[in-house]
Parts: sequence; structure tokens; C-alpha cells
Amino acid sequence: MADKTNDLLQGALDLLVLRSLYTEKRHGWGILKRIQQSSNDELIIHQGSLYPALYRLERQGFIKSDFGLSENNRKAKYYSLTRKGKRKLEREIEKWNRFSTAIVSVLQNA
Amino acid sequence: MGWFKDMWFRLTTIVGRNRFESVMDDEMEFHLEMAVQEKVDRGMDPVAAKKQALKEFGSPESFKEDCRDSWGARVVMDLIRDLKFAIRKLKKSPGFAAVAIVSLGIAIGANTAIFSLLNTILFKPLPVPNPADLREITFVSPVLSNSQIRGASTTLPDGRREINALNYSVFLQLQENAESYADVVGFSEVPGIQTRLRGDLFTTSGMLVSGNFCEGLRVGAILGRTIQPEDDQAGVEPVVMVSYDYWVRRFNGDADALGELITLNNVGFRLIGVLPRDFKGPQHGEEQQFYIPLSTQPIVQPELELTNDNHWWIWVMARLKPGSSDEQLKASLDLALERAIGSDRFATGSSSRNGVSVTSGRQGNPREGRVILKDETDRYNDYMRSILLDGRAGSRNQGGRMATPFYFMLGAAGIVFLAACANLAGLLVARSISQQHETATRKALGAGSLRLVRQGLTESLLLAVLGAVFGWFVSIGAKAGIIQSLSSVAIGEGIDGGNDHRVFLFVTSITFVAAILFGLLPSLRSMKINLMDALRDRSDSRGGWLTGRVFVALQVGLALLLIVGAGLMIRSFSNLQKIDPGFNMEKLLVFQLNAQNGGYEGPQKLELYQKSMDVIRTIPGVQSVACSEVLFLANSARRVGVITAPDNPDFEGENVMAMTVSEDFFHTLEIPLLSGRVFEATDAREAERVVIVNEQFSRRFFGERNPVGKLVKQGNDNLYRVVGVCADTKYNRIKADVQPMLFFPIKQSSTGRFGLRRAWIQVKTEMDPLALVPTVRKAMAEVDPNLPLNSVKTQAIQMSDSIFREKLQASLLMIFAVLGVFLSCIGTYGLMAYTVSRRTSEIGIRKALGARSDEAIRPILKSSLVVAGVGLVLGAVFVLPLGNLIRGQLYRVDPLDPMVLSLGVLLLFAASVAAAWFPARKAAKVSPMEALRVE
Repeated sequence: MADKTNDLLQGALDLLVLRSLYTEKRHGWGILKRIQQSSNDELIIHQGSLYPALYRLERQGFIKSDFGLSENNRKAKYYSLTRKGKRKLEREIEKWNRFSTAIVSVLQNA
Repeated sequence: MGWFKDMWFRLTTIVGRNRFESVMDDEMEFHLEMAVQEKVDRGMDPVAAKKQALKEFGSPESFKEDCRDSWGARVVMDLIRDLKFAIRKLKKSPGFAAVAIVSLGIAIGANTAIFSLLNTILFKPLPVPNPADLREITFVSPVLSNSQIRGASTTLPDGRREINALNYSVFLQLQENAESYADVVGFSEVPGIQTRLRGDLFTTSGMLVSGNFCEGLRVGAILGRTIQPEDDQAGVEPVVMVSYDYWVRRFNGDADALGELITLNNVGFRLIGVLPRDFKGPQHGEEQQFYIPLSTQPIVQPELELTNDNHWWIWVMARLKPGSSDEQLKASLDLALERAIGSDRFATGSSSRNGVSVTSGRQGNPREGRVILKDETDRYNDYMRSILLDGRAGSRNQGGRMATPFYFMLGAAGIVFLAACANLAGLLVARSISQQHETATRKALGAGSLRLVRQGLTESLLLAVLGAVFGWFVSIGAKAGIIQSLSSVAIGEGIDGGNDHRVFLFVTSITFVAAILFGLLPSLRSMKINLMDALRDRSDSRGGWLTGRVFVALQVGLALLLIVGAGLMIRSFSNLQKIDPGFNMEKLLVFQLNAQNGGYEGPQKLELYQKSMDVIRTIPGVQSVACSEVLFLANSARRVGVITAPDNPDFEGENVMAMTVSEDFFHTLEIPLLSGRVFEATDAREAERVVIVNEQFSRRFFGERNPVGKLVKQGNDNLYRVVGVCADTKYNRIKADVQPMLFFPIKQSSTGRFGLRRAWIQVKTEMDPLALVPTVRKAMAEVDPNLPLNSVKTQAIQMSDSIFREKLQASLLMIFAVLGVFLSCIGTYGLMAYTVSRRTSEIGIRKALGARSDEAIRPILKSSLVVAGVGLVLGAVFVLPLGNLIRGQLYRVDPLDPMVLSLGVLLLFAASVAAAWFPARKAAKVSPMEALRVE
């Protein structure tokens, strides 16, 4: 059972990370802030979960990294979506929509 | 691909580990900075901001570890850790490591050596251009009625047969029909051709080949030309081409030999060419001496008709033409077969209709091409079909006779391998029990079961790989030894035992198999350790103790098989040695003189031999000297044409063995004379023609009557008077049965072109015959300084060379058996040492209660005997099936020879007791107090 929930949470985290990289490339901190902002501070991701997820996604080939200058002129590691990652994102969004619709309809009608 | 990429990623991670770490550090630092910055921007004091940020960040190390995991470095890191651990563990017990590596190394080395020899015999491609284009062709057919089929013929489950020979007319039609796709060549072996060449008479086997044989296989002549299609016709002059070895041996590598006549079964064949040195013939592991056209078959095998359609005797290979496919060739062959063989040729009532399978060749990998196609129509089953097989290594029809002893040796080496694995498994189990406490501790500290198993397997793999490395060197030595001993008697010359991908594959897989065989069980055991019991050191874990005993029993059983095998071989070999050849070969020096090559002609040849004998006879230490045309037990024999006894018209006559000898021959070789007289100086050219016959001859041609004084006739005119009967002797081979034999006096032998070209001088000495060689050489130099002494040796050496293969097998098995016993001793010793250490306290208690030393250790000794006994019974069960396998290799020994079996059992029993004795002695010496303190 524990695995299941983990899967769900991990899937959600992956989705959020990939989505935040959809528009532009960001460094880890940027991803964190972006998710926080766009969720109106409802979703706070801990760095202890973010970085392992980033490393895993990179190994799986969904995102890639390079080095760039940050807004405060410091060298930072930037992540961006790969083509494979884009496809995964589209798939995941669709899946998530179906899932949430289903949940919502259960909550409303059951 | 995905898997590979993943692995690659992980590997580069390890290699680039430092870079990876520093990038990760940078990233975390950057993150922290940003977090601090954010707080400062919000108006926080920088110092407080930093503190706060660090607190939020949590332990950087723990999540860096998570990152590493996500990155995928963990598996490889674990492997390296396991390896380091395994190395440390082996270092801690160098004795165990040494025993393991050496015994595994010997087992792997022996197997590798024999496999690589077998590999060259079976898989070495023919030395021709593009051997991959070659196909061997066999046929599947309903049962042919009334037919004689040469070569292998297998009955398939559906009642049809797989055969590999065609009759002449079908072969010709196939050849023609497939012409545009492939060169189809045919050949067949003819045994026992009587050859006369430059006056030598001998029997060899040769090969009949189609006219396009050399063109098709693409074998060129290094001298002269090869057989061409024009030579393969009725009515042209018979021609012969010979192998390089034959040319060197029979013609001394003489380039002028071209054009000479070789008489094969009394018909002259013109020598037109010599084939390259490395071309040994179209078959695996078979060496051909000479090749003659298929069309000459009626001349050399008059008893068979070339055109007899019931005679299926031609083996077939083909070379695909560029651009042709296997399918095209097969289709054209099958069409030709369908046209050539009417369905009336097949025996009625064959069950072919019931079968629906048709074997078919497939492009790409013909050897694997025996695909059963179920969907082909029934119609096809009524006809003969071809099967294309990989032909790059030549035809396998008859081949592989050479390989038999190697299969046999590989089997024995395989048993050694199993024994070595069982031995290691036993030792590992014993060790894992003694390390139970440690394992349990690690388990309690959180090591996963799977992790423990993996660690165990890593260790066995490390051992196996070290063993394989050691084994590789062993195999190099062993191979060189075997090749050298083979070549010392001029067999197996085509073998170089080179290594190719197959050998490496073999070594690799045998190594992994070993690691799994001996490592898996002990590793799995560690999973089952009961934590509480183990930590409390209440370690009477019966399971492990039992497993250990099973492995020791297994080794004892395997060792028994090896001992029995060796025993049977040794007995068989000693039986061969004990065979009475009918003459005394002790202190007999022999050498050959070739008068013809020395330039002697006509009666000079006889004079040379006489003079040589006279000179040698005067040497001190020489008892007597004789001369004969052929040497005993040297694999050659002279046969003479149909012999009849005019006095005994009931007898139809037959070919017999013959030999021309000097007067002293019977005296020198100590062949007893049963009646009549030996040859005398008066049995000369102008006197009456006389012969001496052996007992066998006498019985066969004259029955109970005494043949002395009677006449025998050879052919139509030559009459000989029998003057004596001598005892039977072996002739060409020690294993062969005694044949009827005639002896002719040397003085009456023809000294024409072919007569007495060479002769063997046989010297009976009083001392070591070889010590006399320099004196004999000096004496012979007086007779003719330019005449070489060929093949100087003793008759005893000749004899032992002739049973060399048996000797090799017996000695190899002997080595294997010693290894087997050694391994089982180590196993027993290890197990007993372990038991004693476990039972020290028990012994102590017994002694404290007043038992004498020997009484105290008796149960331990007893248990070791029980284990040995179980192993022996186990082994004995397998003695019969294995014995049946090697029955063909044995000479007058029953595979269940009671002496060998009981000796083996006794030996192993004694070895087990001895191996158990030392640990038991140690136990007996413990003082009760010390023993009790162990607890």
C-alpha cells in the first residue's frame, strides 16, 4: 500500500516538475519557487524530495541539464525538458485530468 | 539497448564520480544561497537568515545519498563493495582460497584444454577460400527398398530416414540440375586399397571424388594438377592425386614423382598432382591419403557396380555460387530428386504418410536450419528431400572418429569439474556455518537477505574467475603436453588446439556455471539463518551439516567413477600389453633399410641385406640377426592373392597375410616351430619354392592333417611346398585376431623392380638393444656409408607406440582419478575438521565422564565413514551406465570388473578414513577441561 501512495505522490511531483519546465528552463531553486507561486503557496516542495526527483528524471532522459548564469550572476545548473520529457508531460497531464475528473465526480455524486 | 544505456550511464557515473559529487555540492550550495537571499530580501538579518535556511534545508548528506541513488550509482557501488569484501574474506583464509583456486583451476584447465583440441577437430574450417559458402547435403526420404546405404543413416520419428549418400545416377542428375546455383561435389571413402608403389606394398584407404571436386571446394595442387571433370569418365587413363603427407612419406617429397604409376588394387594410376599440406580431406578429423575419380570405382571396388541404383554410396557437398541462396539450391536439388527417384523406389508400407513434418533448409544459418515445417503438403513426404548443412568445417558423414577419444576425455574432465565444484560447495557450506555468527550479526544490523546472497555469489564468482585465470595457464600446458605426446606417434597432426571465440565462450560459461554450482547453495543458506539461534551460538543447524555431508558424499561418488574409469582403462591397457604376440620382442633392435633408394637393383638388394646381417652378426653382444619385409605390429601387412590347397579341393581359397623372411627369422623372434623345418640357405632361387605356414593357416586349409610336404597354390600357377608349421603370431596390430599366414624365404623372393625394395633388419641382443645402436651404425657404415638406417627403434617401442591411444587414455584418466581422490580427501578433511571443532565440547564431556580417547572420537570417525559409504553407493549406481559408455574402448575388461570396483571402493574408503583421522586425532588430544571451556 505504501508503495501505491508513493507512486501517486511521485507521479504528481514529476508532473509538477515537468510542467514548470515546460515554458522555460530553470534551476532547482527556480522550479521550487515556480511551483510554489503557481499554486498560490498551497504546494510547498521540500528540496529533499525535489533534487532526487530531478536526478532521477535526468537519468530517465525526461530532462537534461546544462550550466547557465542565474539572475544574480552566479553559475547554476539549469534543467530543461527533453523531447521525451515533453511527450511524457502531455501524457501525464491527460492522465491527471482524467484522474481528477474521476475523483471530483466521485466526490460530488457518490 | 535500454539496458545497455542504463548500464553505461551508471558506469560513467562511477568513473565521473568526483565530478558528479562536486556538481552536486555546487547545486546544493547555490540552493542554500538563494534561500538565504530570499530571506534577506524579505528583511531578515543575514546571519539569522543563513541559520534559518540551513535548518530548513535539513541534513544535506542524507539527501545527497538519495540523489546518488536516483542517479543509479548504487548497484555498481554495491558490486564494488561486495568485491572488496570478498577479497578481504579470501585474504583472511588464504588456505581455503588456495585450495579453491588450484582445484578449480585444474578442473577448468583440463576441460579447456580438451575442449579446445576437440574444437579444432570439429569446427576448424577447411583450408579453402570462402569456406562459408560450403554446404554439406544430407537427405530425408521414405525408406528406400532393397538398398545398401553407406555412411550414417538415422530413422526419423515418422518412419522416414535421414541418409547422407546418393547413388551414382541420382548424384549426376543433382549435380547437373543444381549447376547454376552451386558446384555439387561427391566423394566416397574406399578402405583397404592394396597399393604398390616404387616396389612398396601396403594397404591404405583412399577417396573417390567427382571430377569437379577440387574446383568445387577450391583446392589447388601445389605440384602438378588436380583431378578435372575430363578425368572422371570411363575410358580415360586412371589418374591419382595424393596428399602432401603421402607425397613426403612415399615419394620423399620428390618433385619428379609426377607421372609415376601407383598401382591400386592391381591397376596403374598415373600420379598427376599433390594437394596442399593443410588440406587433409573433405571430412572432419579424417585424413585422406589419395584421391581418384569416381569413374574408377569399378576398378578399385570390383565387387560393387558404379551404376547399381541400389548402392547409395556418394557423399555430397556443394559450394554456393555467388548470388545464389540456400533456397534456390534446395529447390533445384529437390526438383532433381523428385524427377530422379520414382516413388516405386520407396518401400511400401512406410509410415511416411502419417508424418507431416518436412525438414527444410533456411537461409542464413544452415546448421540451425532443421526447421520442421508442418504446413507443407503431404505430397512432399513421398519424395526424397535435401537438407543443407553448414559445410565450412567439412563433411561430418564419417568424420569425428578422431574426435571419439576426445569426447571421452572431455567426459572424464567433466566429472573432475563436477567434483571440484562439489568440493568447493562443501567447503563453502562448512565455512558459512562457522561464520554463522558473523552473518547473523550483519543481518541483525540490517543487511538484506538478498544482499547477503549477492555477496556470497560475488565471492564465488571471484573464486571462479581466479580459478579460470589459473586454469587458462593449466590448459596451455596440458594442451602442449597432449599435442606433443600425440605427435610423437604421428597421429593427430592436423590438431593445433588454437583458441577461438568458441574456446573463450566455453571458458566463460564454464566459469559462471562453476560459480553458480558451488556458490548458490551456500549463499542461499545464509538467507535461512535463524537470527536468534545463531546469535546465541546455538548452532546445531542440522540443515547446513546435512548439506555439507551431501557434498562430500557427492565427491566421493564422483571420485569412485573416476577411479573405476581409470582402473578399467589401466586394466584394458595392461591386457593389451599382456597379449602374447607369439614372438619375443624383448631385446630386439629393429631398423629399416631402403635398398631401392640406396641405388641397389635386382639381386644387389638381396646381397645388401645379407651382407648387413653378416656384419651385424659379428658385433659382440648380438645373439642373432634376421631380416623381414614387413615389421610386426607396425600397422602394415602384405596380403597375397587367392591361395588354395590343391590337396584339399574342399577348400575354396582366400586371401591371406604374408611376409618374406630370412632363415634366422624364427630363431631371432623366438617363434616356435610346430613341425617341419625353418628356412635354410638351400631354399634359394633355383630350388623348389617353399613356404612356412602358421597354425591358423594349417587349420584353415588342411584341417587336422599335417600340411608339411603338401602344396599350396597362389592364383593359377605358383606352387609352393609347405616345409614347416610355426606357431601363430600377431601381424599388423596387437588387437587384431590372428590370421592365416604364409612366410616366404627371402632368397626366393623376386628381386625385380618391386621386390625387396626395403627390409627390416631385426637384431636380438644380450644387453639393452639401444646401447648397441652406435656400434650397429658403425658396422653398417662399412657396408654402405651412404645408406641411411631408417626408423631405428626396439620392437618393444614399436609395440607401445601402436597402443598409444589406449595408453594416453589410461594415463589421463589416471591423473583425473588422482585429482578426484585428492578432492574428496580435501572435502572429507574439511568436513571432519569442522565437525570436530563443533563437537569439541561433546568430546570433552565424554572424556570427563571417563571415555578413553579412542572411544570419544569413535562417533566422529563413524559419521565420516557413513558419508563415504553413502557416496560410494551413489557412485556405484552410476558405474554401470558409464561403464557401458566406454565399453567400446575396453579390451577384454568387463565394465563391471569386480576387482576394479572393489579396489576403488577400498581405496576411497581408506582415503576417507585417513582424511578424517587427522581432525579426529586432534579432537582426541583435547583435554576435557579445555573442551568444556569452549562452550
